[in-house]
Amino acid sequence: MNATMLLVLAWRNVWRNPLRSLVLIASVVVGLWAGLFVIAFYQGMSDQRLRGGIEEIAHIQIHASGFDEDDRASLVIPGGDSTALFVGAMRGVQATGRSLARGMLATARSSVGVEIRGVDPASEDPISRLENKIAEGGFFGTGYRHPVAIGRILANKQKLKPGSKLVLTFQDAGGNMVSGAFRVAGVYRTSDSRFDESTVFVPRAQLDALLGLDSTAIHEIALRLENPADLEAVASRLRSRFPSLQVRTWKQVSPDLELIASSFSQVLFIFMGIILLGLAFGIVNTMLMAVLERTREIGMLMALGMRRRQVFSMILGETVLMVLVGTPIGFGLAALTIACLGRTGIDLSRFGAGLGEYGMDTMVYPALSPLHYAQILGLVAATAVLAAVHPARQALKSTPADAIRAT
Amino acid sequence: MSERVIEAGGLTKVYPGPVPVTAVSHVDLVVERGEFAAVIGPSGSGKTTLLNLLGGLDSPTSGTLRVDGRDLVGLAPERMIDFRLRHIGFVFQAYNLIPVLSAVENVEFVMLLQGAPRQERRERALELLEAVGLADRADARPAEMSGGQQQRVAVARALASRPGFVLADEPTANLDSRSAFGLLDTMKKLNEDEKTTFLFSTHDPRVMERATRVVTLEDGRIVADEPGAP
Repeated sequence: MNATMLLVLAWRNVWRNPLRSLVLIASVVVGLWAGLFVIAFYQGMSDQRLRGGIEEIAHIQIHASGFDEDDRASLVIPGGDSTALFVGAMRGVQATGRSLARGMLATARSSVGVEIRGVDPASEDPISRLENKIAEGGFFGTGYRHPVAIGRILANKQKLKPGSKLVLTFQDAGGNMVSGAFRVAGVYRTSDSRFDESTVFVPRAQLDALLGLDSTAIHEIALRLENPADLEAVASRLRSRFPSLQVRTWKQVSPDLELIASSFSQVLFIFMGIILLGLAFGIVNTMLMAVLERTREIGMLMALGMRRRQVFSMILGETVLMVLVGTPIGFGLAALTIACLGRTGIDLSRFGAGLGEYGMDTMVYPALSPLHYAQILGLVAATAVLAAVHPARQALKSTPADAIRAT
Repeated sequence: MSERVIEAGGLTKVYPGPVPVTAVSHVDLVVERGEFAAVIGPSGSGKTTLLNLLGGLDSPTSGTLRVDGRDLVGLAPERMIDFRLRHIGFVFQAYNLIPVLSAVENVEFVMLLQGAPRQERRERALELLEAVGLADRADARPAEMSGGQQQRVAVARALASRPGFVLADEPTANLDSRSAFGLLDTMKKLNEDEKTTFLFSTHDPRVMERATRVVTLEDGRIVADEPGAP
C-alpha cells in the first residue's frame, strides 16, 4: 500500500466525523492566530523599547576611563571634538560629542534632580532623533539665548512650557557650584517617562562654558551604527584604537535592554510552547477518541493484512492532515491581523503612564519576522507529530481478533 | 487427489488469568480444498476462537497447525500478516467494511495491500462485485447499502486476493432471511465455480443446510464431524 493511498484513507477518515474534525481544526486556527498575534504584539513592544532605548543611549558610548563610576566634570575625553570627528568618519558610523552634568533644575515652584546633556543639534539629531520628538516649541533654534529642551513629564510636573524660565545648578570642572538661567525652547516626548522626567538638553558650548571647560571638551561620544549587527566589531575596533578610553555598547550600558532583546526568543518559545501544549492535549484527546471508536475497524484492517507501520502512519497522517488544514488558516489570519495592526498600531494610551515607566510607547505596532514564522511553523509540525504518537500507538493495541469478535 | 487446506492437530487455546479459560481444547481438524464447511455449537463453545486460530488471528497455546502447507505455529507477526494477506479471506459477522471507501474500493483494498497494479485491482473488484450481484452499487459507500449488500461486498473482498480459503464468522447472523439466502447462494456458487474453500462458524440452520460438512463444538472440543448437504 503506497503512501498516497494511506494519505487518501487518512484524509477520508478525517472527514468521517466532520464536526469533531472541524472543532479540532478551529482550535488549531484560533490557537495559532492568538499565539502569533500575542508574540507579534510582544515583539512590537520590545522592538519599540529597544529602538527608543538605543536612541537614548546610542549604539556605543565612549567616555574617559572611570567616567561610569565617577562622572566628575573634569573627566573629559582627551582630544575632545577631534576624537569625535575621527570616530564619526568611520564607515557606517555617525557620532556626536556630548558634555554631561548632573545637577538641579529649579523653577519658582520647586527643584528637581536632572541629567544635563550639552549637545550640538546638528550632530545630535541623527543619534537621538530628538527633533522628531519635540511636542511643543522647537529644539534650540527658537531665538532664545540660553535655550533648554525638557521632557513632557518634567514640564508637566514643574508647570513649564516654551518660554518658561528655569535655573540649572551643578558642579563645574573645578568642583565649584555654578548656575545658569535657561528658557524652555522645546518640550520633547519619548516613550520612556523616566528619561523625559530626568533629562534636559542644552547647547554644548553653553554647558562647557558653565563647566569651565574648553569649548571642544566633551564627556561622551555617542555612536549610531548604520548596521546594528556591526556592534561588537565596531566596539572592538574602537577599543583597539583608543585603549585608554572606555568603550561600551548599549548592551553594557543598559543590561535591562539587553535582557529584553536576548529574552525575546525564550519568551516566544515559552509562550508558543504553552499554547501548543494545550493544543497537543486537544489533539491527543480527539485522536484518542477517534482511535478508540475504531478499535474493531483497525483490528479488521490488520486482519486483512495491513501492517502495523501502515496503521501507525494512517493515524499519524490523520492528525497531521487536520493540523495541516488549520495551520495555513491560522497563519494567514495572524499575518493579516499583524499586517493591519502593524500599520495602524494599537493604542494603549489608557495604560500610557504605566507603560512609560518601562520605557514603552503607548502605540504598539505588532511585528513578526519571517524567521519567527518559520520557527513557529516548525514547532507546530513537531507538536502535530508528537501529539499523534500516543493515539497511533494506542491504535496498534488493536488486534485482528478484535475484528472477528461479534458486536 | 484431495488437497488439504487446513491441518490442525491437538490445537488448544487457553486464555490466562486468575482462572485460566480453555476456549479450544485438543482440536484435530482437516479441511480439504473445495469444502463448504460449517462449525456449529452453542455460544461459548469456542467457534470464534477456533476460527481465529485457523485464520492466524490468534496463536494457539499448544498444538500444530498447517494452512496451505505452511506451519503457522510460531510464525513471526509480520510474516503472519503477509500469510493472511495472500492465503486467507475473512468475512466478519458485522460486515466490517471500511466506511470511508466505496464498495469497489473496499474490494480493491486487499489487492492494494498486496501491491497489485491499479488496473488489475479495478477489473478484479468489478468482476467480483458482478459475481455477488452488486455491480450497480460499486460506488456506494457502506452506509448507503443494506446489511445484505454490505455482507456481499465483504464476501467479494474476501475473495479478491484469491485466497486458499475463506473464514466466515457467523456471516448471516445480522441478515434477514432473504439477504441470508442470497448471500449463501452467492457463496455456494463461488465455492462451486472457483473451488474456493469456505469455513463458517454459525448458529444459523440455513447455513448448516447448505454446508457440505458440519463440525460441532462443545466446550472447545469437537463432539461431532458429519457430512452435510450433498
